[in-house]
This record gives sequence, C-alpha cells and structure tokens, in this order.
Amino acid sequence: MTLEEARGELGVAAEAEPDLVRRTYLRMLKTRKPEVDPQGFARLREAYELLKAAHDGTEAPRTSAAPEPVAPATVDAPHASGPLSADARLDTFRARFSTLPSDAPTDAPVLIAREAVESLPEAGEARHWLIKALMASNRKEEATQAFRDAFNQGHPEFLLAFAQTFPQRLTEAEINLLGTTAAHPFLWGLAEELGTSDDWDKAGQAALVALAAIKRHPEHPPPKPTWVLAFLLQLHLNGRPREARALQASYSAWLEAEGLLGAFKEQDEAWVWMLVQELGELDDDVSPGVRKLLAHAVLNGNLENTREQMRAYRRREPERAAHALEQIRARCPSFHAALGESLVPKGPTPGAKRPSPPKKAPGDAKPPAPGTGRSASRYTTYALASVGVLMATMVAVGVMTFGLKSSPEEAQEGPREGNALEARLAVRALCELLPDPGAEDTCAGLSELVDTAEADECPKMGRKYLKMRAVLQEQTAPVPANEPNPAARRARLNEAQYRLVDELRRFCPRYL
Amino acid sequence: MSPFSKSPILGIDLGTTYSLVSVFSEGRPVLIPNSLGEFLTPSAVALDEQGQVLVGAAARSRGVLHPEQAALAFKRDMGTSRVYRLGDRTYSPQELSALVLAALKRDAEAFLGMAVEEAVITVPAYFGDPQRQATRDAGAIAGLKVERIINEPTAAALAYGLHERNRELKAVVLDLGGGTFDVTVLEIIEGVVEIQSSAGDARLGGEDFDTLLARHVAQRLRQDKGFDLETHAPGWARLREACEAAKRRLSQTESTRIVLPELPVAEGKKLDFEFALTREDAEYAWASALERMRGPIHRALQDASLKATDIEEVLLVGGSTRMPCVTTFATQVFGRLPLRKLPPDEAVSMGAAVQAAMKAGDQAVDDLVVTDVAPFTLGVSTAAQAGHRRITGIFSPILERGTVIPASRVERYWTAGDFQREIRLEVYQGEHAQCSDNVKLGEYAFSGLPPAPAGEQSIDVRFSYDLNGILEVEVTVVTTGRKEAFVIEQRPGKLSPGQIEEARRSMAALKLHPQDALPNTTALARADALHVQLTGRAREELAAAIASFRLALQTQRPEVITPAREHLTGLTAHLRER
Repeated sequence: MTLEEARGELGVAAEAEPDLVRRTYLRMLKTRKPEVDPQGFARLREAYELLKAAHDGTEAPRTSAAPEPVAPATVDAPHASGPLSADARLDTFRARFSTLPSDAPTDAPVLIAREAVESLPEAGEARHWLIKALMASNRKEEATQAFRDAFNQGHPEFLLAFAQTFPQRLTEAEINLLGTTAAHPFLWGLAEELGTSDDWDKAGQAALVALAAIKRHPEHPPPKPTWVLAFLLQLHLNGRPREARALQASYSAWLEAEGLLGAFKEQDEAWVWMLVQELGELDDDVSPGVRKLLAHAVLNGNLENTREQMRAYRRREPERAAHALEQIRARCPSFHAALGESLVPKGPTPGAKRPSPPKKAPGDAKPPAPGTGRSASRYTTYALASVGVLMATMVAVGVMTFGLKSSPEEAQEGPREGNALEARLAVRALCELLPDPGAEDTCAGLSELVDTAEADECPKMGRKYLKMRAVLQEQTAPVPANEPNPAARRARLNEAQYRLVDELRRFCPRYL
Repeated sequence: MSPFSKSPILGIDLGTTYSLVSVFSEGRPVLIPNSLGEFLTPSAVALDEQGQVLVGAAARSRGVLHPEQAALAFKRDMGTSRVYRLGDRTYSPQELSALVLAALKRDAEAFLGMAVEEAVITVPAYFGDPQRQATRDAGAIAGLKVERIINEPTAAALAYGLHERNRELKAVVLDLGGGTFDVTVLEIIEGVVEIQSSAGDARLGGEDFDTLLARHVAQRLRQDKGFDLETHAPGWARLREACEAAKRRLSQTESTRIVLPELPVAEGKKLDFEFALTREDAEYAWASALERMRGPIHRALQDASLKATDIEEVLLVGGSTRMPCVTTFATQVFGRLPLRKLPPDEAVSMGAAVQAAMKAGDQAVDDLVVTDVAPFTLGVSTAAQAGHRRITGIFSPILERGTVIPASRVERYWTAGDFQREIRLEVYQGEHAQCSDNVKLGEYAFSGLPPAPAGEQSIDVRFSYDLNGILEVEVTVVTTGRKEAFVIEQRPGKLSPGQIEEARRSMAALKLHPQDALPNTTALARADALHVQLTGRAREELAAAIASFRLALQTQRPEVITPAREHLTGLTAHLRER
C-alpha cells in the first residue's frame, strides 16, 4: 500500500493533522470490526500504520491480510435477572430504610447503612446513605471517617464532598489530591474559606493547588488579581511568608505564560504587587509583628499609624527592630521610602521641598527623603491608598482611612494651614496631563474643589472630591495609542493627583 | 426467570483462586450463581472420603484439612507439563481447569434452563501462547466451544467501557487477582476502547500476600517455639488459610488475632498457637509484594508513552485490591485516588459477558469497539556470520509487543549455510536479545529448500496473531512460492485433538461427588475446616450444630435437612468473621 492509497482508504487529505487521522481511523473501526470484516480491518490498520509511521518518521511494518472470518450469530435476549445482583442488593437495603418505624432509634439508619457499605463496597450510594445518616445524628467524627473510607476505597468523588462539608479537617495530602479532582474556582473558594477560619497554612496550600489546577482547565474564569493580592497580603499578615512567596511566584509565572503580565503591570494593582513582592523579600525570620505592620499598611493605607507603631517597636526591641529596618532599607525600597528617613538610619541626604508633618517622637524631626525618594514615597503612599479603593471589601473604607486619621495621636496634630496658591498650582499641573477631550470640564471641576476647600466647606469638598476622583479615573484610564511609555505616564498622573490631594487635605484634614 | 430463545455465550473468568460465570442480558452483564447460591466458585478440585471428585467450595475446604487430597492454584501451571496426583490418578492443569469449567457449565445450565455450548474465557494478559492453548483445551475437555480468549484487564476495561464509551480519557486498570497482577493502559476515544499497552507479573497475586503473611507468622513461631511450619504441610496449609482470613479482616480493622488451636507443627506434635497482628505489621510483611507492582506499572506506562500524571483514572479490579495498602500504593504512584466502580471480583466476568455479547452480535453493544495489543514480542532465532565466526541464538523479532491485534507481520530470512536443504525454525516469545533468555514456544523443521549457496535462498516467515492471542506461522520459500503453515507443535503440555477427546472421555468417566449432595457436603466441609480453628465456647457451639446436621442427614428428609443445613452455614459464616 502506498501513502496515497493509505490516505484514500481513510479518506483524509495529505495535510491532515495526525489527531484527525487518528480519530478518523477510530471512527472507521466501528464498521470494520475484525470478527465481521477481517480484510477491511486489516486494510484499515495497514493504512493507519503507514500514515502514522510516515508522520513519526519510523518504518512502516510489513503486513498483509488477516485471519478467517467468523459469521456472526444473532440472538434476541429476553429478560433473565439474578436475584443476587448488586442492584438488587442495593434495592433491598433501600427497602429497609423505608420500612423503619417512626419510633426507631436514631442510630437505626446508621446500622443499615453500615451493613450496606460492608456488603457493597463498590456502591457509592451506600456510602452516601451512611454519611447522611451520621450527619443527621450529628456524629461528625464518624461522618468524617465515613468520608475518608469512601474516597480511600475507590470513590474519589467523596473527596470533593468532604472538602465542602469539613474543609478544616482536610489534611495537606488531601488538599493536594483535591487538585486532581476539583475545578479551580472551588479550590480558590476553599482557600478563602480556610483563611476565614484562620488556617493559613492550609489556605496557602489550597491556593497553590488551585493555581496548578488552572492550567488544566483554562475554561473556568481565573481569580481576580485584586483577590489574589488581598489573599497574599493576608498570608503575610498571618505570618506565612513562604506560602505567599510561592503563590506570588506561581501567579506571576502563570500571568506570563498567559501573556497577561504586560497588561497586569500597567494597572494600579501593579504597584501593590510590587509592595507585596517586597514583603516577600524579607527574611522569614524577620519579626512577624513588623511584617504584620507592613501588610496592614498596605491594606489600610495609614502610613502615619505604621510609622508610629514602628517607632514604638523600636523602643521596645531595638535590636530586632534594627535588623528588620536594615532589611527593609536593603530590600524594600518602596516601604523604605514610605516609612521615611526618620525610621531608617542610613539614607540619602535630605533635601525636602516642603516640611513633612510634625512627628510625635521628639528628636526625630528629619525632613523626608529628597528627589526620587520623595516622589517614590508619595507614589507609594498614593498607591497604598489606591489599594484601599481597589480592594473589593474596602472600597469606601479605603478612601476614608486614607483621610481619616483614626488613631488618636493623629487627631492631636494641629491643623495645617491650607495654601491656596500651592493648591492651584497643583490643579494646573494636573490639568496639563489630562487627555484632550473633556479636559477643560475636568479642569474646571478641579478648580472648584480648591474653591470649596478655601471656603472651608469641607463636607461639600469631600463629596465633590469623590466625584472628581471617579471622573479622573475614567478619563485617565485609557492609554492613548501613540503613548510610548504608559507606565511613566501613569506615574506622572498619580504624582500630580497626589500632590493635589495633599494640598486639599491641608484645608480639610478630616475629609480626605 | 425466563429462558433465552437461543443458547447464549457464557462469559467465564477462570481465576487462580475463584472463577465466575455470567451472561449478557437486556443490555447488561448478569452473574450466574452456583448451586450454593454464590457467584464465586473456588478454583479447587479435591477428593472426598469416598474418592469422588469435588469441585468448588467443598474442595477448597477439604484442602484445608487434607492438603494432599486437593489441588489449588493450578492455573499457574497451565501450559506446563506439571501434573497433580489426587488419589490413584494424575491430572494435568487443563483437566483440573476443565473440571471447574464443567461445574460452571452445569450451574449456568441449571440457572438458564437450557444447554450451553459456547463460552468466552479470560486469561491474564501476560499469558503466553502455551497457556492460552491450554485454556482452550480445558474448555474443549469440559464440552465448551471457546469462542474467544480475552485478556482479563481488557475484560475489565470492557465492563467499565460499556458505561463510559462517551467520555474521552486515559485510564489504567490495575488487576490484582488471586494469582496474577496485570496492568493495562487504555484510552477511550471516539467511543473506542483502545488498549495501549499491557504488562504484568504472572506470579504475583493475593496468594502471595497470604504466603508472605504466613511466613512472617511462621518465623515468629520458629523464634519462639523452634518449629519450622514451612516444612510441615498440614500445619502450613492451616496457617495460610488463617492468614488469608486475617488478611481480609485487616482490610476492615486495624488489628486482629490469628487463633490456631492444636496446630500440627511437626510429626505427631500439636500446639495451641495464638498470634496478634496489626495492619501495620502486615503491611510491613507485604512491602516486598507491593514493590513488585511498580515494575509492571512503569513498563506499561513506558510502552504507552505516557507518564503516571497523564493518567486521568485509575481503576482497581480483582479481589486483592480491597487491601488498603494497595489503594495507598496506587495513590502514591499516580498522584490520584483510584476508582472502584465495579465489584472487584465480578468485573472480569462481566467483561467476558460483554465480549460474548459482542461476539454474538447483540444490538446493545453494537457500537462498542475495543482494540487490544500483543503483550510481548514474538520472533525467531537467527544466526549471524562474519567470516569464519558465527554466533547463533540471536532473537529476531517479527511481531513486536504493543502491536494492535489481530495482526500479521512478515520478515525475510536467508540461509546461513551453503546448499542448506533444511531450516529449523525456532519460535520465541520475549524481549531479550538472546533467545536463551526468552521463552521458547516451539520449533518447526522445514525441509525441501532448493539448493543454493548461502545467502541466496530466502524464506518469508509470517506471524499471524489472532484475536485470541494465538500464533500461527506461515513459511514461504521465496523462489518456489511454496508455503507451509503450522501451529507450533511440541509445546510443553500441549494436547492434540486426539488427546483432548481422550481426556473428555476420561473425565466423563470420573466419579463425581453427587451434584445434589453438594450443598450438604460443602456445608459440612466448611464447618469442619472452621472447627479446627476454634476453641472454647464457639467450638462447642459449632460442634453441636455439626452433630445435629449429621443426624438430620441420616433422616434423608429434605424438610429436616434444609433448616439444619441453613443453621449450620449461618453459624459457620458468623463464627468465621470473628
């Protein structure tokens, strides 16, 4: 047989994909069964083997016709059932349940179910009965064991049910196995659930398993980046840097593999991502309190509180604090900048553009870091605040904590003087960056903000600010087609916005 | 129970320890119970006190107390020339298997209410040509026309595929039966169950787990009391039986005890022996057997060009997969929990019934297609020459393992000597490069070659491997076109048609234990076997039940005998579980 003839036999074109060839062969098998059509079968096999060998680059086997045909006999088969078949046995058990009297003891169904499981170990339904009966009598330990017996004795579907019923009782090995049977949205949910019950070891593991499962079922929607970020922060917050690091690395790799990394880096979340990455850079043995503090800072954007607590920590445990701060200086530039020079002993010489807010601890009045350090600091602070908005759970709260000095010390700081000139300069700078259509209106709105602030109408200003913020977001989000450096553009916009907000806050500290 | 209109084809699982028979009816396989109302018939043959032949549960129980009067696990000797002596005659493994098959045939006929003549019988995938032929012979001796021999894991895959043919997945079947371990990798795609590869260990099964456990216990006995039970057959038989029961119990509980009162430990010496066993201890003793499972699994995966992680479902078949350590082992290897969708003892027989239905052209399985592969390579012995140096015994493969069957392959060979008139064709099965490391299937002397200088005369050797896995060889002299086809002769244990006919007649003349007495005999035999293992109150209770049953038998009145027997069997079963 030649290659031509082989293709003809199967009815496939020369450029047919090997998978198509294989499936065609398989479909044709149904009409060319060897017992019924031995020659047809032999020809089909020869053709398929030839094409397969040609594709694999191997030699085709030498073949020929097949053995004698055997004529089939038709038979009609009326019903002939055995009273002892598995289905029948299951039925008898089912009947026993329904014949239980209403005053039967509560463990009666359990006993019947156990008998059923013992006599029909391969019947999933019997196991289901047993679990239900045990749960109904609130015998949780036994129900857990029944679940375990079920999936360990040939019924893997019970693992999923077990995870849904008793997520906290899952062992690490069982979480790993879930990766092979559960869809990843379920696994993300499980990670969240485990986090809610504070089992962060397992929560982290579940998240990693979920990420691995995405690759197998890309058709399910992946988790939102904001959720992943919040989860990562929670891991850091609860002292699980290793899991956080692993999860972050895996997620990045997945983003990259999917070609999403670029788009991800342009969003506001990218800054937070970087912050979380920095958190991961700290050694695992850095004081968990410090880690927690930093994670909190990201979550609620309250820098002043963070600085304050850091100082307090430094007073209590100077050595450990110094160790932690040293690491922050060396590995976490954004945090370093955000915390400010006052906390980190070595840093670039100060050259402040404006005085920083007065600090509580005496003798620590050093001006903030200069130039890029400062804008990074502001950028970071802005980003930290932005995160509060981005976090689904903290939308309104984020905005408010940013402005609302919740800690008592903050409230004791004297009101700063609002400087109208600086405010208007900030507006002008921002206006220049706005894209053309609609820029004028937005600009006008921003000026009005300053007017209201100057007039001391703080609540009104607060409300207007929120509106303007949304407008700005909308206007500046789309990247112009000819923009060479979107990240830099974003940075500039953020800086200008921050500067304006900073000025406005001087007028109305409680409302921004 | 309404009869079929035409005699159906039986699906028979002829196992090492147990056999089952089923038929396909109304779209599904249906198991046929034996005269005791059980699906599993032990593959055992023994002689009773009168020298009559017993088959099944009665034979097995008899073998516990009188091991020299019983033959067990003879499936392992199929295709060899080993014989068993029972009483004053000897039996070949085929004859013993035939006795079991005949019993199953009887049970089927009683159940269906009609004569049956055809059957599909399963064999381990790793069974070679001699063993498959022997199985066919056994069927013939029993009066059954063996329509097809199929591989056990393929049968399990069929039983499973019957319901799953609309899915697409890659699966592995792990079949750990009484005597053999088979691994089969398959893919269900486009509604076809495509077997990709198969590997196994023909001497690894539940029996080996029993033996390992018994050895473990015997070693303790040796250390504590100085008796070596492994050399004393009656004691060893009892110990193995007790270990088999303990193995089963340990699948349900974490610890158990082996109690053997009056255990014969040496000539004329008996001992009351008790031993506590935890699941952990047992799994330690079984570790070597579990490790042996790894090799075939990796071989099968490799042949299928798949990794353990590519497998989407792991199916457990065979009674021995009930042991928790087997499930744990499988989970470790494949990284996922294995599945047990079908009753592990029954799956293979059900699959055989599906194949029987396919053979009969049943509509319900019209669109079900299964393709199987050759489990090992077949080839011939050749010689190579360089100048004056000559080496012989080189294995030249003609039909590679993994080839989809039925298949036919041809290779051409040249004469090695000048004016060589005769060629001796030696057929081998195996994977080694040296024939001496492979299994010789047989040889054939082919004469009448036209004289010519060495290397100028050639023959085409064609191997045809049919759906039963049986090999046919055809030799063609290229220059003359003369063909000769043959099926391998001189196989160890192979029977000629004449011999088969003689075996049939001789079996028909055997004095079998009366069929209708079988339930009574079995009940007594089981009770006796258990009685030896019990002590105290339980033993007294059982003794009383046995005595009253014997009394009842003497009345010869069924209305007295039946309730007494039921009481005895119930009590035996109950006490056995403790």
